[in-house]
Amino acid sequence: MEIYDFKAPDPGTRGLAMRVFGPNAQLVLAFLACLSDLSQEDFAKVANAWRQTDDRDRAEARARLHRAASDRERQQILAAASVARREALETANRRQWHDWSFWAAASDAAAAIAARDRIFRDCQTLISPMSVVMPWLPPAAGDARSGKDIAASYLPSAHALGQGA
Amino acid sequence: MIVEPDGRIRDANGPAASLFGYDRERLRDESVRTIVPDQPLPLFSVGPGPAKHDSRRFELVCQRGDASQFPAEISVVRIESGRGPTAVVTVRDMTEAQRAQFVLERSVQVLASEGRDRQLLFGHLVRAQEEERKRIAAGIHDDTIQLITAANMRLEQLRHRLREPAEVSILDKLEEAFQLSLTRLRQLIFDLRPSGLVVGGLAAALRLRLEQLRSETGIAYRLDDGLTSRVPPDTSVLIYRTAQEALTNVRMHARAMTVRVELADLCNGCLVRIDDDGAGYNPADVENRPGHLGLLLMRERPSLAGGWCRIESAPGAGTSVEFWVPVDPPATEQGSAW
Repeated sequence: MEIYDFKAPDPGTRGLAMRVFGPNAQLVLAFLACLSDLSQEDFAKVANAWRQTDDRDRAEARARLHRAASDRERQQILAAASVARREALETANRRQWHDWSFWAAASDAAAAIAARDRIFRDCQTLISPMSVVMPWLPPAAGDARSGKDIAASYLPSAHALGQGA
Repeated sequence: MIVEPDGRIRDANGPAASLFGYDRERLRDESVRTIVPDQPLPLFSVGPGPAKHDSRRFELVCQRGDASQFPAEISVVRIESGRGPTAVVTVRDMTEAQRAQFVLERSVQVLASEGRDRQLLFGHLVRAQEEERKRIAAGIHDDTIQLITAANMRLEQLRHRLREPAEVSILDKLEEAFQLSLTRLRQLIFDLRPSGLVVGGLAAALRLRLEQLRSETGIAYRLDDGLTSRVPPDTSVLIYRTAQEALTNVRMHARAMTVRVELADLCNGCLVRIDDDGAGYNPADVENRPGHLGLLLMRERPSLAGGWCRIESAPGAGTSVEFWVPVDPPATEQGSAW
């Protein structure tokens, strides 16, 4: 697992990630890094939780996130959702998993993480299916800890988060 | 390098000597000020005292023997020995790292700029495409269809003069061909400028499209229209075109028995969902292949209008297209709360 540690003296990397994913880039990257650790059993749990969420609630949550965001923020939310979907899709394919609910859940969660602090209730709606296997999601609104620290406090494998950059 | 408390270099290894362009011997006993001129380099954070290690890092400009300079990251580790405190100074030439960082920053700027340009260009192309479609549709309506209608009327006049059954039969076939041409041209006008959007609204236009799909392919449909808010014409066209692309994919690739289309009001916008029960596909395979402009267009059109689009499928599980578009202007940069 590899993730950028923003505490490392690498303002270029930090700037890049912030520009692409917005102010919550650190948490988005922590989330992306953890996706590839998930197993088929995890996919099933996420897919099941995603299907139990009401379609309309989910669509409404995403609509509200987009409505509340500026053009630039929308691009950052879409970028996070798109990259997470791709990462989840490829991880699922590597493990012969073809239920799209899993990567749809990853995409929703990444959009909400990128927009964290904005509309907390909507973020919870979008994050909750992934939080079944990533109990460190959703972080409390205003949680000042870094994404790496939040992840590391729950996931043993996330201790490796600081090895990258 | 090992540096004494007075700033004198006691020893330096080969790479350090080489980095600064000196012989090792020449570097020995030289002041650290020679290689780090005009900048503070605190070698010890605390004065002499109990044995204690501390490490600090600085970003400074170093100078070589030939007076050329380079950016460096200098770490100073204080160590206590029997002879008192000394500092181990490690110098890392940051020229390449800084250049790489500059290139990275520059790349990001270029990417961001390209992204903006791409979006502007895409928006312009979509608008230009709609204008061009309107122009062609108007040309067909005002010119071609009028000419065919006039020709058809002349055929009717001709019919009164014909007596031979064989000639009448030829005329019947000619009239049939004209009628077929008119029908196809009118369909083309509808495709280019869906009049149903103006006359009956989005649901009516989509119902016509679905009816056409059913008559041509046998794919059954269900249309649930829960849209009550007025959708502006431009947004209607955008929604219609996105749905049209999804239905074209159903026709071309899905091998579906049924397709369900739902329209709903949602969050001052329009939510559209199109599900089919067809063969589906593996997104990892299809999206990795170049040339899938239809999927790209479906995703990009709602994004351009401040919305989002989800297209998901799996082998044997059909395909689901869901998109939402705001019907009034979304927040702008100025309106941002972030």
